[in-house]
Amino acid sequence: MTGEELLVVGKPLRRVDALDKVTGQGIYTGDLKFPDMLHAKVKRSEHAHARILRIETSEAESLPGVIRIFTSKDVPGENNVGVIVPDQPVFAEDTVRHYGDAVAMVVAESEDLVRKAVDLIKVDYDVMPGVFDPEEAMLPNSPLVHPDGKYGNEGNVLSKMGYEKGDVEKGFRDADIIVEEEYRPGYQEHAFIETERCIATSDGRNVTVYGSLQCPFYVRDAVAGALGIPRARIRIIQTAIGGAFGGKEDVPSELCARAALAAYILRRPVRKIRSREDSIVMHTKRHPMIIRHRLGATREGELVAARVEIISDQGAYCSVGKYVQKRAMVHACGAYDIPNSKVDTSFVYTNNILTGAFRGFGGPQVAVASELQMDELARRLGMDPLKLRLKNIVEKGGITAKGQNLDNCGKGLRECIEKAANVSQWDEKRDAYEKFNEKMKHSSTGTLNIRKGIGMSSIMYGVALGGPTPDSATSTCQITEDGSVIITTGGTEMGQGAKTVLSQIAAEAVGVPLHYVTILDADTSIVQNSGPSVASRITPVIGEATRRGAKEAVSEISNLACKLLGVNRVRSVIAPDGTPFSVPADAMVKKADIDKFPDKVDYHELVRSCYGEAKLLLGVGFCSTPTLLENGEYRDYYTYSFACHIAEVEVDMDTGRVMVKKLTCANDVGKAINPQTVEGQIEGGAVQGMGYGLMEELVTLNGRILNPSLVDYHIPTSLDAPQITPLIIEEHDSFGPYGAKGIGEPSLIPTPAAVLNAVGHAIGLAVRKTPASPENVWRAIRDHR
Amino acid sequence: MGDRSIKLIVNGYSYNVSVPAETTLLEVLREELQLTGTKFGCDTGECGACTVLIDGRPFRSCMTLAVEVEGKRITTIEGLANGGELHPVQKKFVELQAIQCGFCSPGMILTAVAFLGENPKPTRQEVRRAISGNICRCTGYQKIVEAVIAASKINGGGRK
Repeated sequence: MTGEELLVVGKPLRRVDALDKVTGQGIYTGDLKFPDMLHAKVKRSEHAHARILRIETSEAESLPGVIRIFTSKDVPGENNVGVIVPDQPVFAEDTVRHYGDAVAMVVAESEDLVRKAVDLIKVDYDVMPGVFDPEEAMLPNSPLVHPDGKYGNEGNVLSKMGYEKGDVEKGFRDADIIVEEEYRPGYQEHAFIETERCIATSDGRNVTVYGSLQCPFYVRDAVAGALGIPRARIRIIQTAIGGAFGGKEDVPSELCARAALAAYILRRPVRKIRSREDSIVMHTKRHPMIIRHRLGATREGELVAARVEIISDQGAYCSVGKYVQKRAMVHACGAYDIPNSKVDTSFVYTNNILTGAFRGFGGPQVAVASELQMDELARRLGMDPLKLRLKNIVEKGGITAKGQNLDNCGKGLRECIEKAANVSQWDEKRDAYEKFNEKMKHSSTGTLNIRKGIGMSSIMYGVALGGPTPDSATSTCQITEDGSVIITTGGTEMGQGAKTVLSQIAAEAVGVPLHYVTILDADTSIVQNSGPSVASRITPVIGEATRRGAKEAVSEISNLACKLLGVNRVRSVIAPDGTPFSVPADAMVKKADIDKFPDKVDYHELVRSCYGEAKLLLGVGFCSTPTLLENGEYRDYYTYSFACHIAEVEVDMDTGRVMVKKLTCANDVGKAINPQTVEGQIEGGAVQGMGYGLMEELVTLNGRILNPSLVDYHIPTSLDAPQITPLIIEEHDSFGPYGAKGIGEPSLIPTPAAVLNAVGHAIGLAVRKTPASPENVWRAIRDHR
Repeated sequence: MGDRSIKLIVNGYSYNVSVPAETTLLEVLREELQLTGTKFGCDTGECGACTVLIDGRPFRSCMTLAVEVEGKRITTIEGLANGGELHPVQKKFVELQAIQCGFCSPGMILTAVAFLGENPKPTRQEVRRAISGNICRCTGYQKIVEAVIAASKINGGGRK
């Protein structure tokens, strides 16, 4: 940009899907109906680990209206799915490895019938001992989840990953103070309000699947594999999505493969809607981790060494576990300049629920450890946690703890921390709450035994898919005869505002008002694989592909405008009545004066002329992130975004109950394409993160989830959510469209640690596992007495 | 059990449907009347996505049998806009981006509409209490609360 005013980008415009969503007109998967549609439901495993001896389906099959019951022997292609390794069966064959395994599937004429029929399926098992603790799973005599080791696993260890930078032993020898603690961030359930669902149709040759899914191409590949047919015969179409958060990343692969199988064989539409219980028992969760974190510093608070060991429970299948592992490894030491660091991670198979993608992707867990360590260090040094952070953050030109040279970003973090501290009145409140708590300790009157605390957490976040392979995407743009613009991408709208943001980017690039643009729902038969809708990559990566595609589509229009105006370069001005015009790029004209300005051409005339002269107004945008360096090395992530969240809490010392009163959330987004949408991401991410830190607890016993409902698994309600002050920081990025980075995940990552640090400040001791539920906080207080 | 023939008044229109007695109002709305704006989230009354108004008060349609509401006035999200003009709560949800995935929005909006009918000038805390049975996983609730407060300041914000 050359300082020219942006037309559409950077403005808090109305969401393009808003009207549909407030009037009930938005079409979600469950709202679609097809003639002769059948319904399907799976029979889940009744054990965490067992051999299947016999599946008795005759009674279920005899129910009138039951069409067919499917098991593993009906799968014509590969009976396995998996984005990284194909270790998850479409239907369990001889073994079940967790309670969420599908043993069989009933297809029948009604939802009622499938429920009844599933209960009539009888399965004989030979129950085997299971393993439910990742550390026990690493012991030599532990039961093996995948005994043949064909997924690259050694015993139950799916994968080990680590790095060392500098000389860690020497670093700790030079340290004046060493803080060593163990942290246990737990599971988190996505709890999207719309459970997983899909509808498959087929004529016996081609297959189309409509679904609530983040990654249409993952689903396409899984369906092709299971049916043993080419990808070209499969169309995956995304509908409106009722929330995803990573829980609809690879999860729909198995769901859709089963529905597609039934539709393909029966040649009738098959709908699958997971019940809430099926949803919670069957889909991936956030990885629980055991994190042993050792941090060394000088007396003055300068970090000199970090040693981090992470063991994580992968559950029964890999899902995207190895990718989560990499992100956790890279971010394990936090956003700090630490000359000597060593990180080792082990992701381990167990017979628990499988773990996978969840907004933040390993980030929130490692931030809990690294950010509580910083507060612990501050406590022991008698330093203010804010000052300790500012002294140690990695900045532009510095080297990350993992060893990446921050040559293209790194100013955003200081700005985030200073802004959040300033707005939240950190210094004053830190003081005031300490005085309040001191007074309360000696007060015998009053009905409530309350303590107050304020805590912070600051993070860096590697944007998009990590290196060495560049992250790439395609997007097509077509300008129609009336000047309206059609964009197709593989990126999905799941509530985050993707369609609005991509519309703004496309409108800006073409030079037209927002309402000219239509973003089609992702359809795998129309665009080239654009990668998954994950890793906060839609705005920066798919957005950049969209910008490029739109620029290409409008290039003939610009050429013609240049010719007519006799200049080399033109720009767009949108008149007060909404008509777009081309003017010379250096023309000093404001939109209000455009009527009186002579050197202009109406965009619509240009489009008509282009069609008259048979010009191509179609652009295919492609981009790939700059992860590879000229010297042959690569960046872990092509750029980073930064954030600092500050939480204020009140703790009831008698019950352990924590109320979060306020969150101040500063997030560096590069450029806010739509500031209102960015605020929505920050607020929503922060409350989801608060839920993880404060109240969400998945209870398991020997692999069984004991609270598979929203009554027993508590997510924040409007009464739990605090007042939030979102603060947008913009450190321009040289790759992303108009300087944008991603916001989806870094909105959540710092919050759990900020809440836990605020609790720590209030009660004077750390709660090192999530959630800071009344029970866990009360126990911490009691154990300390 | 045989089917029961019942008359329902939904969004001002009268419908005759014949359904088994155990059929929920949610099923009738979605499957018989094709009013799919009312969402199916959990089927056990946990999430509030299926909230509709029955004689102006919010109920979970997944926990309400169709036969129970025979002859009562039912309002779904499709019936809220008055002759095409959005209800003030809908307007403010759009303006303030109180929506993300939109799956909780129909139930949330109807709960807010019923609440403003009873309490036209609420405080933020009163709004939070009123909508606390409707779970939203996307927004963090702040923009929803602000939208309801903003709607309460428009003339007719309490209209049902």
